[in-house]
Amino acid sequence: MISMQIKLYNCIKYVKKKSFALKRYIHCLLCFFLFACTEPVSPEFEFESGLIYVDAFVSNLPGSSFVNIAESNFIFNRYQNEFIENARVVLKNIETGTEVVFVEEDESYLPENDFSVQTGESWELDILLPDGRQYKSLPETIDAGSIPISEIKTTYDPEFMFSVSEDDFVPGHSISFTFDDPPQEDNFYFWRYRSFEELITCEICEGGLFRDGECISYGAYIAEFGPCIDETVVKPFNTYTCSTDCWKIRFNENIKIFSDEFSNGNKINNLPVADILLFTKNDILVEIQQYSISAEGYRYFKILKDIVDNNGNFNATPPAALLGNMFNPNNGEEYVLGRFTAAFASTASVFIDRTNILEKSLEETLIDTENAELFFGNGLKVISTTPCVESQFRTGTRPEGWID
Amino acid sequence: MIEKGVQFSFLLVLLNFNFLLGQSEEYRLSFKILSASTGIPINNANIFLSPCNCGGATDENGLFFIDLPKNKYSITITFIGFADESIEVELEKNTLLDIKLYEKEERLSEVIVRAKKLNENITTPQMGVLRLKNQELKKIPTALGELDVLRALTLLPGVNNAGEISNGLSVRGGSLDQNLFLFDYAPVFNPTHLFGLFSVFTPDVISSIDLYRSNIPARYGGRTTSVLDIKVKNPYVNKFKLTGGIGMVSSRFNIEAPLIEDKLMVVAGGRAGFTDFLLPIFSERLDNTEADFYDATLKLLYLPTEKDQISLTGFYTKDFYKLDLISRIENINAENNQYDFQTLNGTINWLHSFNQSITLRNIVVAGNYDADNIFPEIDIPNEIKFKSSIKYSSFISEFSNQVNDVFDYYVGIQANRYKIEPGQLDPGTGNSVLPVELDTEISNEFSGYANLNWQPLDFLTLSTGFRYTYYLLQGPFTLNDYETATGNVLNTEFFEDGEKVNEYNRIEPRLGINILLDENTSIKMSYARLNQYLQNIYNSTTPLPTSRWKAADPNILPQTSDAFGVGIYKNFHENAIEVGLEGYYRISENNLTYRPGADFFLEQFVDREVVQIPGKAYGIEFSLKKPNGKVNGWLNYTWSKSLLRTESEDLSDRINNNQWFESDFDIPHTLNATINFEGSEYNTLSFNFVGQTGRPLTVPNGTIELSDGIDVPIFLERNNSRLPLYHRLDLSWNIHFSKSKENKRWLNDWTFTVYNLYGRKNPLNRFYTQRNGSQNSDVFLDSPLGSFELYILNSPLFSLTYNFTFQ
Repeated sequence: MISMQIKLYNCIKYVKKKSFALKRYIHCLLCFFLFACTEPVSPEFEFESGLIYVDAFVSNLPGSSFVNIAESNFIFNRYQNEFIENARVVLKNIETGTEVVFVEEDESYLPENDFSVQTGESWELDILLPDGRQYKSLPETIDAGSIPISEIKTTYDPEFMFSVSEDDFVPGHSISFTFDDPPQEDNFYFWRYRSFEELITCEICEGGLFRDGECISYGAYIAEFGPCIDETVVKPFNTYTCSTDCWKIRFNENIKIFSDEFSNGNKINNLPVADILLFTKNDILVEIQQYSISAEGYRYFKILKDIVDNNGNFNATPPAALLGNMFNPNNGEEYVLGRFTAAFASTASVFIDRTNILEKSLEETLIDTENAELFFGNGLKVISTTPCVESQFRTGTRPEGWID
Repeated sequence: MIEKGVQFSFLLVLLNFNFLLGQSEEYRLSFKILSASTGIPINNANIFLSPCNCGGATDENGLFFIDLPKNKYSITITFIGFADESIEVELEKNTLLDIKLYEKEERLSEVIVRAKKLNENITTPQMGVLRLKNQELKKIPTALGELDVLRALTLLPGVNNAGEISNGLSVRGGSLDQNLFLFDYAPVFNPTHLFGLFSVFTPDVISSIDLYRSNIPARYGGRTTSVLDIKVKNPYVNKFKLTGGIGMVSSRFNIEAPLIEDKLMVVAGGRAGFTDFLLPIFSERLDNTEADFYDATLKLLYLPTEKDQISLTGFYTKDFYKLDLISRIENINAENNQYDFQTLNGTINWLHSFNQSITLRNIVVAGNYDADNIFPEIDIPNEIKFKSSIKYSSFISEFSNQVNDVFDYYVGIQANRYKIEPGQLDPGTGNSVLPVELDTEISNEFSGYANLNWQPLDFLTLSTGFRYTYYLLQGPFTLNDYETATGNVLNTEFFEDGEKVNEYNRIEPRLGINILLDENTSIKMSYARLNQYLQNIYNSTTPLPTSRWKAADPNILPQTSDAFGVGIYKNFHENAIEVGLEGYYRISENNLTYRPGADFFLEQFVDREVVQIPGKAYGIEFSLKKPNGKVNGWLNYTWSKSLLRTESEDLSDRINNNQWFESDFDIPHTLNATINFEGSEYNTLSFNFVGQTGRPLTVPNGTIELSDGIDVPIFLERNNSRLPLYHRLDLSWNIHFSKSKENKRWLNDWTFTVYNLYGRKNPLNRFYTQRNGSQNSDVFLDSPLGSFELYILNSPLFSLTYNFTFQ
């Protein structure tokens, strides 16, 4: 009877295949009150257009400050956040009256390369859009300075965290910090990271060939070169090895924050600050930025964390509007999303050797020698490499701390 | 899925058709068993009939019913302390037997309970009361075969929970903390085990379950939506009885026994579930998961004189668990979060009968609810503990007098004291966190109440009453004054231990009117005002056991509700079928909601983090009930709305721009049906069906991409969408065994249940995630975010429970 019953259960996907019927049945009982099953569904939205989003960050690290301004719109019936061009973006020092103008560059507004803010300074942001709309921030003060990290620890766990999309536990490293929290003031911390993995394959071209920086479909290629191509050697995709040094850049996918409300002035031991999933088994360099943020900033990032990380639990926090310290001085009824954050930052880098890890990585590693272009004949040139192209997610500059 | 829905709709119609047809060859034989000397109904009198070899026991009102074919029956009625009574009856029509038992020389104490008429639902002015008896509870199909009070109540009109996981009930659109749960007069602050899957009330000791939703009687107060009054049965027994059950999740045992014959009796029941030791065998994922729960109830009944009855009830419940699927507490660096909580309540109830009509009841209650979080530190053998507790004490004295057949009244006083310890952080032996201790809150409610039932005319009955409450908050207390715009503290005032902080004086009128249109039809109207001085504060879909309880203070005002009701009720076929149509409208003030980003864990300024807002709820409930017969059950349909509205100037505190919005418990359409086939003495087959609108859900109004590439959903509104339709069919098959010839004292039966018979996937929640490459791209299409639904159960769930009785 029991073996018949279990046919009706779907939750048994968690159960190892070797399980026998009773085991699977009891497992499903447990599934009822200890697990939950998830299933992908078509995302539902109630889109609103005309929402202004400001993502502004300034810190003591030169080159790290930026202001992004976007507006939600329907473009050809498709919801998009459009970068707003030609805005006047000015950062004002409250005490000195100093104004720093941010200049538009690659869909962002940036200050001079050497611009930085210092502990104790108070700044506010002033934005004037080309259509006359004006947005301001409340003043933001950099309260805390550098907080030295006494120990950095990296721990590998084959079942590091449960991934909804993988529907299973996935392996990864946890990076944790040990530091002494300053006793003089309330401290609020925010961490994010960039990671670097050396790239072997710079491009994968599905259903076509990589030429002049883009994938050209076989159809287009055949149209141009016609019968010269031997269709028997056409493959689903072709890979292209990096011809120059190249590193893939990834960013944190969850929000790491901490307040010393229960531990002011104490030693904080092994606090996880970065979750590094095993996307590949290549060695990885993790560059962690630690920010000392304000109480209001912490509250904003706590809302962000609830939206991004804490929304899939039994006791999920109902989502709140991501409203920070930006406002429209001429229209108090307008929701202005995002936040201007001024914070003191310090960085630490961790190099992780992953060559001896046995678990399967999340991303499949393609072997270029097996997937490179084949010779088409008739004198057409076979290309197997491509140079590294700089972007937000890729760099050809060797990251500081990289070990060969 | 639509096809399945149609199939089961057809099944329902078919079942209800059978239900309505009834059994034309049978007649109902009703008993009302009274004491000859006092005229008082006798509870638990044993009735045995032959030749059917059937029978049962009377309820607390001395009533018992059975449907039998036309025949001549020999009937024997027995009850300890009374002489046996034997009569013969020729059953050829529906018959009510009034039988008086004569006491033996050594008599039991008088037990005063009010008689219930067969058509009580028509004649009483009480509206909105839902009653479940233990026998009905046992018939209802439940998840994993666990008898469950709260789950059974969700099958009644106007009662909902927020999906499979909900730490309480929503009654007529109210929030979970607006219901008062009383277990033999003692309040229960956390009514569920396993994060809401089962209720904590020891099932075998329950005598009756009354849920008051409309004109709540004046003897109750302190919550704005409903009162769930669960009574533990009085062990009127003269021999040892052991009952129990062994189930998949828990096992339970119950003993009833006389300790001193006719003087001191006991009932003790317990239940325990600790299957978690099996978990690591089945999945490595469960290595760190634990889930244990226990509950136990003890009741001693002492009958010192024939005029006095003294009972002592003890109730204990405990849970311990750690689950991955609960959000972690922020800012405590720990391996995991564990939950450890327990309730220990005690009730002494002294009932003195001056004569047949006049009684005085004195009750003393002491309760303690402890809810702890345990945080094992990373790499350090130390546990940080968060501790919170509510200590409750109460004294009730109530005088009641049944003056004559048309007039009765009761008056009483009640003094409650709450000592809330909202939070204490104990660092243990480590030094990573600092000790924290929030101020203890001490509040008192002194109430006086009176209620009278008067039938001035044959067709008119009034039930009117009031409850006056003086609420007093005492120090130690820190009262803050906040700047509206920033929330910064402007002024602080300290109150010493015992010093008065503030007071509220509230009068709560209650009114019920019943107009009998004919013997089987009545119209009722009701009004009740209620105040609530204690609230559970949380900002999640359902509260955790450790969610904070907060007494009213100068900044957090008492919640208030005014509930109006009107209904029409009609019984058919000599009260065999009861039909009711009831409407209600409730206006409430000072409902609690939270500011965006609020975190209440060990929050010192919790009053700054909440907003009090008005609400309204209204609805119409249709019910059809066939309480007796071989085919019995009920069918309920409810249409309702539950709305809230903020009134904030501050943009960030507004919800849906200060427009009325649907509360988390707004369920417009609910259809419940339960049907029991008691076809033979060996089998009882029961089905219940639940169908309701999906609960409100918040979907994003847009997305943004952070500078580091994280896509974030943007929410500007609340509850702007809904989860899909919720529906489910359950089956319970109870297989009885007759007494074995070798051992007539041993009875046993099996209960086989299938929860969610047709495997409906009812989502508990829907959430948004980062997309992971091209995974699920056929579902997510070009959306910047992925979306998943979280199910507790997506398939039928079978269980088998063995139940036994030894006496």
